[in-house]
Amino acid sequence: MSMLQQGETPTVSDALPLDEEGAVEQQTRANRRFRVPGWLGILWENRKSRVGLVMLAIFLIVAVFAPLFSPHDPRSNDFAPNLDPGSGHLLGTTTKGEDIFSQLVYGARTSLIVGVVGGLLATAIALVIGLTAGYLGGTVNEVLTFFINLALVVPILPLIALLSAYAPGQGLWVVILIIGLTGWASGARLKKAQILTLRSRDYITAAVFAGEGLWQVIFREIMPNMISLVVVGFMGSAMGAIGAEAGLAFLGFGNPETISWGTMSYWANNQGALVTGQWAWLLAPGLALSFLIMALTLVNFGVDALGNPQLREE
Amino acid sequence: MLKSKPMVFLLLLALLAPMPAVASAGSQAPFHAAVAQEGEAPIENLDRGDFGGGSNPQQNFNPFSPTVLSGATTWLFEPLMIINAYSCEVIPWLATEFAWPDPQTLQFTIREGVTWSDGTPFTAEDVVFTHKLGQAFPALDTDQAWDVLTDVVAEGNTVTFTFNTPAGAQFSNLVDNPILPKHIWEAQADPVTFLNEEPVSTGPFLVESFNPQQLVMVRNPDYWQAEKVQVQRLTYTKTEAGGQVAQLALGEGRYDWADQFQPGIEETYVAKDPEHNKYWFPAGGSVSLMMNHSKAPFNDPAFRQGIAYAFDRESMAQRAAFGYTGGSTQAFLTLPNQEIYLDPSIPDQGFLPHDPAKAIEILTAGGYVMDGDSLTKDGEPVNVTFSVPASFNDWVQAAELVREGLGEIGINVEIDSKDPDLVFDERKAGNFDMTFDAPGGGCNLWAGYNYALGGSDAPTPVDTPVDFNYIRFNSPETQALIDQLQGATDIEAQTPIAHQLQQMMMTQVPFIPLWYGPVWFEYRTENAEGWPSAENPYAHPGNPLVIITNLVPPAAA
Amino acid sequence: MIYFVRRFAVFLLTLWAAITLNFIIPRLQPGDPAERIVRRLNPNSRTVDPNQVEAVRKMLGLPDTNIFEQYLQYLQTLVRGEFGVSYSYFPFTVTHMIGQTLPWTLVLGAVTLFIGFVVGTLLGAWAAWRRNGPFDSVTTLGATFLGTLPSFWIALLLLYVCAFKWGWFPVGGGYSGDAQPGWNWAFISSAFEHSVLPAVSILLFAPIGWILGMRNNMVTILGDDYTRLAKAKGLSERRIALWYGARVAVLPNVAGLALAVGGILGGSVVIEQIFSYPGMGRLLFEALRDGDYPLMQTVFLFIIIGVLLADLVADFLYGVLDPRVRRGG
Repeated sequence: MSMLQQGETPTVSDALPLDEEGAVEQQTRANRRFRVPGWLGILWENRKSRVGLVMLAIFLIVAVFAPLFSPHDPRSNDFAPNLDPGSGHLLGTTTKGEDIFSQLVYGARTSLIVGVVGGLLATAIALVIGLTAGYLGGTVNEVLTFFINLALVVPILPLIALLSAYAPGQGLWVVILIIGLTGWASGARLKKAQILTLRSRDYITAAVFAGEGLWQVIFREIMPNMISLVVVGFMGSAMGAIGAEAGLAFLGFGNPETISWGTMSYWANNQGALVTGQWAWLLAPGLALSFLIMALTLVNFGVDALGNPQLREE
Repeated sequence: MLKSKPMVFLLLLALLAPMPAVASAGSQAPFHAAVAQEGEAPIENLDRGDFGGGSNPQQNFNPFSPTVLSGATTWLFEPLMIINAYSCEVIPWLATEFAWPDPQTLQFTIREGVTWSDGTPFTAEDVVFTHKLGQAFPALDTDQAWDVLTDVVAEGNTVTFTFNTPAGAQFSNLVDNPILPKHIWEAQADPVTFLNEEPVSTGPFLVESFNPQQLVMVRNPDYWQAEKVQVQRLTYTKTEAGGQVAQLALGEGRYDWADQFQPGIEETYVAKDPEHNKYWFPAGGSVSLMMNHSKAPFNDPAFRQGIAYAFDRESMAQRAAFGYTGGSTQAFLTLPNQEIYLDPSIPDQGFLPHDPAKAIEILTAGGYVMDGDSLTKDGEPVNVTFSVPASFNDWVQAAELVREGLGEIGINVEIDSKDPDLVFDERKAGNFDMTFDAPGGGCNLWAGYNYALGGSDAPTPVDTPVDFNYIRFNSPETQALIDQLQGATDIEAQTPIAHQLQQMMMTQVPFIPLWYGPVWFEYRTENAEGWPSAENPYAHPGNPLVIITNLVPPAAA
Repeated sequence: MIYFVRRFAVFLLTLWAAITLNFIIPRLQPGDPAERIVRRLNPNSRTVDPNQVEAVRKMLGLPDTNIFEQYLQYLQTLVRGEFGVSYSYFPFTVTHMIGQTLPWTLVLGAVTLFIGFVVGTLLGAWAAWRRNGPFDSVTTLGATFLGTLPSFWIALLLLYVCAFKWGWFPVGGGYSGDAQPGWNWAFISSAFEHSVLPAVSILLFAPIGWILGMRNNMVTILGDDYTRLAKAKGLSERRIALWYGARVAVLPNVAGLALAVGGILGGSVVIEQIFSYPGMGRLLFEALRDGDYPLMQTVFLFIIIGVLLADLVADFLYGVLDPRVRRGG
């Protein structure tokens, strides 16, 4: 039965606040104007998230077509070491004699993969556990809260140090997995908190009295009100995953042979980029990271509008 | 936001204030502050960097402890004799003479007129006591000397060590140990955990002050060769050893004396003050290609001999050691300084050229077949995995050159760079193909051979972890030579054995030395002169006691 | 009453599970602590002397009993409050080392967290109330821009520019070596001077999460029926925003604060490492690097207890701030 109920809400526009008549109206308008998925339309309408989407698209293109953009093999260390920017290498070379620009281009791949996969994983787990715990309450809540708390307190640093050491060559996927598996807990907590306040709302009570089933209430009544929290949560998890990968790599936990912006910073720091004055080596990965995260954050502004029509820019 | 900013800092100040008293309670203790205002030595102070003890150093002057403040104990406790790690000469220190009445008996004559810093005379009893600590407390026997040592006795000013086997090679380990005052240490129930917070010592400097950020050593006016010490103070400042902060500080000329890796040293250090900022990076141990002899094709001498010609050693030294050192000799010696040990009959001093044609020639003669671009044996291509610790940047780079070199002679190499601990664990267990290590380099030739090949009469089975001869080289003849070398007590006895071992290295090629790892040593001539250098290599950077007694104030400009 | 007992039982159960994981995880790491220590003692040497490793192994008394016995022993010592001797700081006890470093981290972390939370929540609430106004734009865009910068990167740049190039602040450490630790002005001012760059590195980022979280929550709340209803009833906008909106919107932030308390230590690792700050984050980094199980376990134990307690407190706070939660249990 619950499966059927779920099947009745296939479109995202349906999932938008049903208790907000204005929203539905606005949504349909948006749909009419853009022959694109409704949510993308709303995002695009927002100036900030439009900028974010464009930036994200650029990163995506660079990441997918990395071999086209990078002038050299990022791992090749055939060049003279410590070259300054310019000099045939846009951003110079590392102390190992690798082309920094090529590494930067390939680093986009790593960060995007980490962000998307890690973020999705964390959000999915958070959503299922948070919703169930928050709505059902009682023993289920107790048990799930137990797991949430456990996941929150598991020492993540040695876990990653440990698992990446045991998975040579696949360090990145292991890091993603760990970040995803450990990163859901705080999201689940927030969602549980949100649902605790939502479930006592009058319209939910009304829906329950009207005889709506459990999953119906969760997905039709509660989910729409949480959509912004969920998407913001995903963006947060994605950013968190990207940041965590970079931070861990910077500290030297993780596989230093992965080409990512974090490992670039790790090597730049450990090989004395500041001492030798190779600014580009240290600046570039940090800036790239911040642009990517900025893109996601800008998109986030539009996501707010998904859940709260009052925020939509006219 | 704007309003709250000053508040932020006020709050910070208010909250930071009570903290330090808690943080550092008990880290202060009185020292023998032997500050002689009159007649201070002419070199007022030399600045140095890290002084050991980790990032949160605690007051600990127990020289056996892993968290000892090594910046202090280097100057507090002296050895019987110092082996000049460059020339391999023996320099008498707390002992004036030594003799081997027979290869199982070693005698030292203890220097007279030396006193401990509390005024107690230094005697042969102190030497006996110090060495017997290792017997009573195995955790203090850092050389595992009591495996071969049977007794230590004092008679007048003579100390006699007796061994259960000819033990010439034990000499350098024994003389190296810092000698401790019996009258202080014998009162300690547990010398392993004893912190020795108020050290009584013989050395040229005393602890003047210590806090976790700074260690100041002051000249010991009663030092037995005080006239040779012209430095009044040594000031150590805590930094992450070898970290970026230390590198920046060195570049700024804040250290008079350092032993750290510095990237691009000509630009980041020398160029900042070419008149005073100097460095000397002598050759240390040979970074070598280690092969697992428990597997084919590495158990085949023809294979090993062949690939020894596949490497461009100079490029490796250029790439991995920034050209500070050069390629190393297959004779497994640090040249030129250890040339006295070298068998003169070895052509080109054992330096093998990069000669792929010759490599293929030897391999073909050994039954390998070049099939197109790849080397095959019995129809199967030769594939090798090269394990390298990922964080050892220079090795990772050199591994690339190993792959290129072997690729030229048709051997496909896959580089597996991973967590160092994994590499070391696999190495010990014998689960690897090829890897790097840096055996040897010291004056104790036996120690180098014993580490690399010791136990080659009966190699440890695969999967049983072992520290020595983890390459599992199988050669009873070699082991016999290593045992002979251990027993040889003087250079006349050692040299012929060393020559035979060098011949073995050339023909058997159990491992392939590739380039010398540099020893880091930076110094400034602004406050002191008389440093060892390439022009005047009177001491190795690792002989600080020798260096300090040679430093003089800079000549008046 | 039953509510409290149950909460407490869950707390204990979580504690036990976490403590057990805490025991298992570090022990699965490859490598030998003794060898790591000898390697650290000879940082310029790539080869370790196996004899020295053997001596250190004897010194640490590395256990060769089976893992189950070690686990029982571990539980026993925990119950007795003994955390053993640190491997990387032998012969000092774990308790001694934590006592030396904890105050530094606690003060730096707690002060910056508190300031960050208060400033961030207030700014977020204000921005949501005046949403789409100039204040909102400046705050959210400013916070967003700052939030995108990697903290380790900013810290490195601050270190290089403010400390090294311009010489405004010390290059690293907790205080100047010339100042003797204790109650004296030279030391306190030196400690303060040394804490500025690390504190600034943290404070640049500390309020961001709270600003954006608060703003997002509150904007959602302000769009809700009952706030509209309140508006229709003629309540002042300020009252609606600050009384209804902010009070409910702060809930997720409070939950977040509880977690952030436990996160102080984890977050301090990078900053302390970069600024060579003598705190617990750096100690933890070393423990991880050197395979110092006793130290690692104890530090994580502190984190675990901290987070679990904070969590318990947050649950109660929830009840106070939003009475509806209490009914649901």
